[in-house]
Formats: sequence, C-alpha cells, structure tokens
Amino acid sequence: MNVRAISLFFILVTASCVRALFADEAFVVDWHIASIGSIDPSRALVSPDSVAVFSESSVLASLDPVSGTIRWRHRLDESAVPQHSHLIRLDSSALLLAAATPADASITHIAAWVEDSGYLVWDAYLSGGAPVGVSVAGDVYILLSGGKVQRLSRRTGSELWEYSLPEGHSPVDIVASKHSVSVITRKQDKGLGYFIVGAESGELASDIFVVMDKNAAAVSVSKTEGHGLDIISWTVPGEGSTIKVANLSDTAMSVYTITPKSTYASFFLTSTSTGVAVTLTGLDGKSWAELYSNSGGKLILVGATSPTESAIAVGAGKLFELSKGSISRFALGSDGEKVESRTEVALPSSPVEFLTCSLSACLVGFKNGEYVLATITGVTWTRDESIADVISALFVELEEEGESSSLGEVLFEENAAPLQAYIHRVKRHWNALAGLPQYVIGFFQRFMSGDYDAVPVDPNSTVTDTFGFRKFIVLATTKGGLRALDTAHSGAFAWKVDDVLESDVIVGIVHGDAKDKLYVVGKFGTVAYINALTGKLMAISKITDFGLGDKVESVVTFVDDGVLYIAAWTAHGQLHFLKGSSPAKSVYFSKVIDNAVVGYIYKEDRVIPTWRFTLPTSSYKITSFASRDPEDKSVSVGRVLGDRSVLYKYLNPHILAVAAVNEDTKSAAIFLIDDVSGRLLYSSFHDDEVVDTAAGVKLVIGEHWVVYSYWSELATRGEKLVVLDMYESDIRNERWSKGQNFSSFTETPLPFVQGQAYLFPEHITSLAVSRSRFGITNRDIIATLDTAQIAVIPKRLLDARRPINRDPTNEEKEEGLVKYDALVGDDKRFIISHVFNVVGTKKTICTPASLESTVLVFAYGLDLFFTRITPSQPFDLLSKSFNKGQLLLTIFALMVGVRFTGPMVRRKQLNIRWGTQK
Amino acid sequence: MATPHWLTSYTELSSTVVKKSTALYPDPPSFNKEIILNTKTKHGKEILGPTPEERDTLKVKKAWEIALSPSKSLPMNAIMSYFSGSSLQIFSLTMTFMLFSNPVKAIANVGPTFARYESESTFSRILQAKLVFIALQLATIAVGVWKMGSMGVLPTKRSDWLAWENETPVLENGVFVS
Repeated sequence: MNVRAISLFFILVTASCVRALFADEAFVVDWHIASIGSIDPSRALVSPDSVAVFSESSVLASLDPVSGTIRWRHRLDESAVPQHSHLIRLDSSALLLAAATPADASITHIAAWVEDSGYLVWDAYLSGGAPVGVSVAGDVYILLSGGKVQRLSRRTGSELWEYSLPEGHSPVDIVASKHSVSVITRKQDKGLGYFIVGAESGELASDIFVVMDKNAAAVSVSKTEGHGLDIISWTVPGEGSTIKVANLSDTAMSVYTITPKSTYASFFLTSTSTGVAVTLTGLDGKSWAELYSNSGGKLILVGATSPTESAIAVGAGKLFELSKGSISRFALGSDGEKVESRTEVALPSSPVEFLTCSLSACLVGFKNGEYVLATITGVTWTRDESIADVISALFVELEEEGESSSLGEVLFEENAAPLQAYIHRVKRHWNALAGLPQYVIGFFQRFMSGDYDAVPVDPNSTVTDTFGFRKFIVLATTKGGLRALDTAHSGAFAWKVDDVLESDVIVGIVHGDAKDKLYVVGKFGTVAYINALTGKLMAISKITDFGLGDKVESVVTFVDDGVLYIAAWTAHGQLHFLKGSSPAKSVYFSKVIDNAVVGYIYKEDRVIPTWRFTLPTSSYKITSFASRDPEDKSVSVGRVLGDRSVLYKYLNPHILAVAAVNEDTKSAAIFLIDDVSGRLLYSSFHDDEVVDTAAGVKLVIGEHWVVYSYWSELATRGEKLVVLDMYESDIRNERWSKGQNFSSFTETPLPFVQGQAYLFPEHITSLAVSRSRFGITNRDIIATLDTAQIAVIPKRLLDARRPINRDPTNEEKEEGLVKYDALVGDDKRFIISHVFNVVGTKKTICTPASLESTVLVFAYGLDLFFTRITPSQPFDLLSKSFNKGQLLLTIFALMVGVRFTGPMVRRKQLNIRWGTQK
Repeated sequence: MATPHWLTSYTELSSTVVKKSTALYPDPPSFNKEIILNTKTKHGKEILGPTPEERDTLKVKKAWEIALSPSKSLPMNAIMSYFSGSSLQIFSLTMTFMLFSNPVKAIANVGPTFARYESESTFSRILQAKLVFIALQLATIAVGVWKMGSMGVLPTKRSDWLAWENETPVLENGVFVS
C-alpha cells in the first residue's frame, strides 16, 4: 500500500546503482569465446611456426601454432570483401593483406602487419578496384581490377610507379620476379596472354602482348614464391580434359600439354624440380594427384595416386594426402611417389573441405566448421569456427534436481480426490526421505562456504544449479550443425551435432511443448526433432505437401487456448503446421515483405492477405522492426506517479514498431502499428537530421515503450537514443480499457505517446531488453557497441517524464525521476563486457534465471559472450561478503547466554519471594 | 460470640461496635463523645452524609471530567502529529501507533473506567458521558488516521488499488512473422 515507501525504497536501491559487476565476479559469472570465422584455404598461410588467416568474416588473425588460440586478430572494416582479397607473406616476419572494400569492391586496402605482434607496419588505400593479383619480389606489385599495376615500397607502402593496362585488356594475375613483372591479361580478340613490365622502370619492357591461348578457359596461376617455377595453366573448351601448362619465366613461352587419366571438376598445378604436380578433384568428389616430369620438351606422367575420398594438397615441394585417418607426406621426385611419413590423426568425422600444408604442418578444414592443425606428431589443435556464424540461438532450461519425479506427482495430487492425494503425498514424502542425508550434507556444504557456486555442478549432468544460472545455449550454425554451450562451464560444448537436416539449411530452431524438445526447421521443408539436453536426434521428417520451389522463411510459434502451435511460414505464403493444427480461432499474421508490412488472416486452413501498410514514399526503406515479446510480462498495468495517481500503460500485445530510412533526404521514421488490424498508432519523423542510413535504426520494444537509436550528423553528431513511452491516456487515473475486452478492430483511442531523446557516446549496433521471471525487476536495455563492448542502459534513465531544464519536484523525485541530461551512458560502469573484446555481435538474447533479480544475457555474432545482470541489484541474493560465520557465532553465544542466565534469574526470583534476598 | 472480635470490629460500623470499641480503648484527650453522638442523631444528614441525589450529581460530574479528559490531549496529539512530518521514522511510527492503541484500549475499558460512578439512577447520564468519551477517543483515532494519511499509508489513491487491476483480455491472436 505504501507507494511512497516503496518508491523511496527503490530510489535508495537504484539511485546509487553500480551497474558494473564486482571485480570478484568478473570471469566467474561471465565468459567470452573469441572466433575468427570460416577459413578459406586461399587466404590461409600455414607454416610450421604460425598460422595466419584472413577469414570469411573479415578477420585477420594469427593463431598460436601449438594451442590454436588467437595470438592477435583484427576485424577489418565490416564492408571488406574477403572473396576479393589476397593474403600473402611479405617476408619471414610480416604479412601482406590486400583487401577489397567496401561492398562494391571499388577500393583496395593494402596493409603490412607484423606477424608476431599484429602491429601495423604500413597501409595504403588504392583506388582502381579490387586486387586481382599481388606478388612480392623485393617490393610489392599489385594488379587492380581497374587495370592498374602498382609497385609499392616494401618498407613504407608508398607508390613507386604505376602502370595502366592498354584498352581492351582485363587483368588476370600478376607474377613478379627480380627484374620483370609479368602481367597476365585477357584481350578481347586475342585471348590469354601477358605483358612484361620492367620492375624498375614501370614501363613495358617490350611492346609485345605475348598470346598464350586464344580460347583459354579456367586459368590458374601457381606462384611458388621461390619454391619453384611460377607456372600458369589453363583448359581449352572442346579439348576434353587436357590441361595446358606454360612456364612464366620461360622467354620462349613453350606450352606443354598434359592429359589427366580421368575427367575432373577442378585442378591445381604446382611446379616441381623436374616438372609439375597436378592435384585434381573428380566429379565424384574424390581427389588424386598426378606427377609429370619434363623430358625432351614433353611432360610425361611418372606417377599418380589412387583417388581417395579425402583431400590432397601440395605444399613446400611435398605432396600430402589425407585419407582414412592418416596424413601421408610424399616426396615429389622423378621416380614418382615415395612415402616420407605417415601420421595417424584422430579427426572429426565430418567431410573434409580442404587441406593446405606446409613442410610439416597441415591445416584441415571440415564441412562442419572445424579446423584442425596436424603435424607429424598428430593433431596439435582443433578450433570450432562454426559458432562464429550463428543463424539462431536459444536458451534451454535444464532439469531441476529431482524435478522429473515431482512435477507430475504434484499435478496428480492437485487433481486427485483428497484422500487419494493425501496417501500419494505421504508416500512421496516417505520416498523423498531417502535423499535426506545427501540434502543435509549439501545444505551444510553450501551453508559453511556461503557460496552457492561452491558446490560444483557436474559438467556431464543435465541438472541446473540452485538459482537456475546453468542453462544450455543451443546455436544453429550456417554449417548445418547445432552446438550446445554450457553457461556454467565457460561455454564448453555440452553436445554438438552436425548435419542435423542432412542436406537442408537451417532456418530456425524453436522449443516444443516439453522444454527439452527442439524443432529444427530447414529451408526446404526438413524438420528434425532434437533432444535439447543430449542433442540426440529423435526424428526427422519432411513437411508433407510442401510446394515445389517453395522455401521456409521463418518458424512461427503461438499459443491459442493454452495450446502451443509451431508452424513454418514459406515464401509462397503457406503455413505448414509442425505442431498442432487448425487453431479454433482465426489467427492474424503480419510480415515485412518488399518494404511493406502485410497482414494476413489464417482461417479455415488458409492464409489470406488482408491489409498492407506501405511507407509514405517509395524512397523509405524498412531497416528494422520489433514486436513485443509474447513472454514479456507486465507486473502492473499502470505507472504510479508522485502524487499516487496512475498513468495507465498502453499494453497492446499487437504493437509492431517499424523503422525506415529515407536515402534521399537522409532521414529516419518510426511507425507504430497494430499488427492485427494494420492501424497506424503513432509515427515520428526525424527529418532535420542527416541519418546514417547504412547503419539504419536499431529498435527494441519493452512492455509499453519503444527504444530506438540511429546515428546522425545533425544537430549534434552522434548516436541518438530515443524513448517513446505509451500510455492509454494523458489524463491521470483514466483507463478506457477497464472491464472491456481489447480488440484491435474496435476504434480504441490512440495511445498517448511521450518521447525523449538522448545522445549516446558510441555507435550502437544492436539493442535488446532484459526480461526477468515475473517482470518485477527493472528492465535494462542491452546495447552492443561497435567498440566491441556490451553496455546496459537502465530503462529508468530513458524515461520520457524526466524534467527538462529544471530540478525534479518532490513528487517527481518520489517517482524516481532525475533531471534530464542529454548525454546518457557516458559511464564506463555501464559496460558489462569489461575487458573482453566482444567483436561483431549481431544479436543479444535474454532469459530469466530462477531468481527474479537476475537475467542471463547472451550475445552472439562473431564472438560469443555470456553474463548475468541484475537490473535492480541482486535483492534476493545474499552477497558473498555476508558474514555467515559471525551470524552463527552470535546465535550460538546468545544460546549459551540464555542457557546460563536463565537458571540464575529463576533462582534470584525465588529467593526474593522467600525473602532471603532483597 | 461466634464471630471473632477483630472481624466485627473491621467489618461493622454500627454504634454497638463503636460503643464496644470505645469501651475497649479510651477516647483521645479532649474528645467530646457526647457532641458526636448528639450531632449524629440530630443533624447527621445535613453535615456529614450528602443525599443520594447529591451523591449522583457528584458522580456524574466526576464521570464527565473523565469523559472530557481525552479532549485535553487531543490538540497536543494533533500538533505533534503535524510537526513530526510525513516521513517514516521510528518516532512518528511509535506516535501513530499510540494514537491508535491508546484510544482502542480506552474504549475497550470504558465499562470499568465508569463503573465507580455508575448506579441505576445515573445510568442514562453516565451513558452520555461514556458516549462523549468514546467520541473523543474516536477523534484521537481520527488524528491517527489523518497522520497515516499524511504518511501515505492509507489506500485512498488510485495507485493503491493498482495491484488488483488486471490486464485487459485480448480477443485476437496476432503473430508477427519475423
């Protein structure tokens, strides 16, 4: 009843809010897994003492050759295009990365990095297109897609000369030697050929374009960087499987021909001391190698391996073959193959994607996203990079201790006849007595240590801990696998499954009715049922009557009359029920399609489009949208003001926030619509600002409010954080929805929206909102920042009722309002990721622990980060500094005192009565 | 004599006893027994004992004094309540508690409090005093209620009943396909 007292309490509790966690909790309650992303063999440099990689996620990283941990990594501009980038070695201690950027690959960013430390030596931005070829011969020679050749100083990166290709040539590659540079191009009428450019002068050594083949098709250039000859090979359409080979350093330009023994899908040539080695992959996926020796102006086959299921690679003048759990190394000699060493390796069972080797180390990539470095002694390390590319993630609740037995029985007792229920309960309690000694021991252990984490949870069990902090996080990866991470054990894999949907691509995972059952839905209609605690596949099936050429776009879940429905929504606008079918009531769906929000009604087993919400002009593009979390609970329907009157919250569950940007005017707009009726409830336009439309608008919806952020140049340059609080009415104590049923189709009053905007010091990349078990705890807004940090902003600070330009009145103080300050979040204590560098997070998900105060937070993207936050302080948890020993001692001392003084007092009183003592 | 001497001498006030006692102990010096005995027989009613009516009037007067006594402390209570402020402190809490507990106790004990003045003849008049007494105690409670109100612990505002208000049931089932 005492609202003032309660609000006073909350002011006391939250006013001095220390958001950041305590030093002793860091690294205990949170963990971080750093990733680099998928590795492409053409951008991986393997040497015995280092592995350097430019990954598909634009991360340049150096891995420790012994442990496989990341020695250093740099995430380049996210707009870099790894597919058009080149990673080569500048010298023995430096790497050279030429990366195409931005999305249209019009600029090349070339940089030299120290391999041991990751320090930048020099870098340069070259206009003229993406890098087509890079070659190092003393200095750096680079060929750009725009037809420019540049020589850059090896030490400073400054341009020494520039040469532009003549008209009509499209660049293919560049091979540099000490004195000359061969620029390989295709000319429209003459076909494949090359120029020779003087290395010193930067001018054509001779005016001749040496034509190699008019009809060359697949061209591959093998640059051995000093290990042999630089050779070029190509195929000619219409000449079967013949491969033509030419030596680029041969001035006579003689072309050799080899004919592999069977047809192939791809090939790669390497020069050897006596000829060439070809590795080929057949149409059936099997690989083999053939060895040719130069004899009398011809390449003669001198040896070949038999085709194997696994991979084959040539590196450092050796041939490596991975097959049947062992890696064999062959010498490439004139007498054919000769096994030099054979190493048995225990490798993941997933199919091999690539094998790339140096003299004594092989990097093996697997289809499931795992990478293994194998040396002569066996597997040195394994990295699972599939978790760097997550489609969807969800929390899985674990069993509570003894829960499986009790829950059903309690339900039975609630519904059975009283006598029967009583007998049942007595029996149950009798049986439970068996566990009493163990419970008592555990209780005392916990009690003495005062630390609930002190009793470790067995990593192999599927039982949660006392406060429900231990859960599994199941990740669906783009590689088609599932990974379950154990939150209580630093994100260690609880289980992993590969190829869940066989050849299908995962679209989404959702919980079934039983919380340990997961539905994994694939793009082409495959559905797998997985036990969430063990990862066991329970069943797999195909959606029946799945339309030809149709694709599942998303998985929807909803509850109707207490029954959970799971359905797959397809591109053809079909709804396939995976659990439950034909709900009794009509269900209203809405979806963002082609820059508009489209409403549907599902009735009589059909999905019928009903309404369409389009943006004001066609130059607006929808960048993001958010709807209310169906599980988000409101503990109160109103907000209590300082004078104890109530502003009623607008708690429409159908509210959908859509954010759009206008490329032409560089503005942003927010629309709040009812996603059942399509009615526009509120709109707001940011027209006078120069909005960063590429970054878009980040959005999140809490119970009755929307928070969004965007970067703009005006009026103050920075990230703008806006809060919109929605109330039923601006008049206090007025609640029109009382005693009615809420229907989106009745003309209910529009919400009263109050807004306030703030400046945030960093770029925000995504927003999320914390959700506690009962919704009593305050809400925090969780923002991932482009500084590789994660911040929490209390919703209390983002409050449209904060008084502007004046101090709050007493009533406002009681409401918990503080004076408006335009800058919010300029406090390092808001950063919950402390020293972790959480790179590339795209999304944050939250789930409540068993404690009302605590919310578990998991952010994913490239890196994974887990922590737990207490938006209203851990009010239901004793602090670790609480001195239980002292409390126990005090109680004990009191007991002893009472034991001794009791008889004394009794004796004294008796003596007084007998008059023997005054 | 069946009854012991000390019993009769302590319980009975009849002249015989007086006589007996006078017979036992000598009168104090200059005590004129005659005068007392004569006065009692001749003018006793006028001087010593009031008439029953007078006695009743006196009782009622006394009862009214008691009935009005809370009114004296009422302004003090009100002033103290006003000046102790609306914050929740141990002092003001104790005071507020007293403002409720004392009147309730007094009302519960209203019978014994007025029992000494009650007789069949004064019943109706004493009843009035009792009612006034109760009313004044209730006024003290009213001060307490006002005090509680000023401390904000009375459920008089809309927000106090907010916890009993439920969310509006929603008719349609809307699903956003993200």
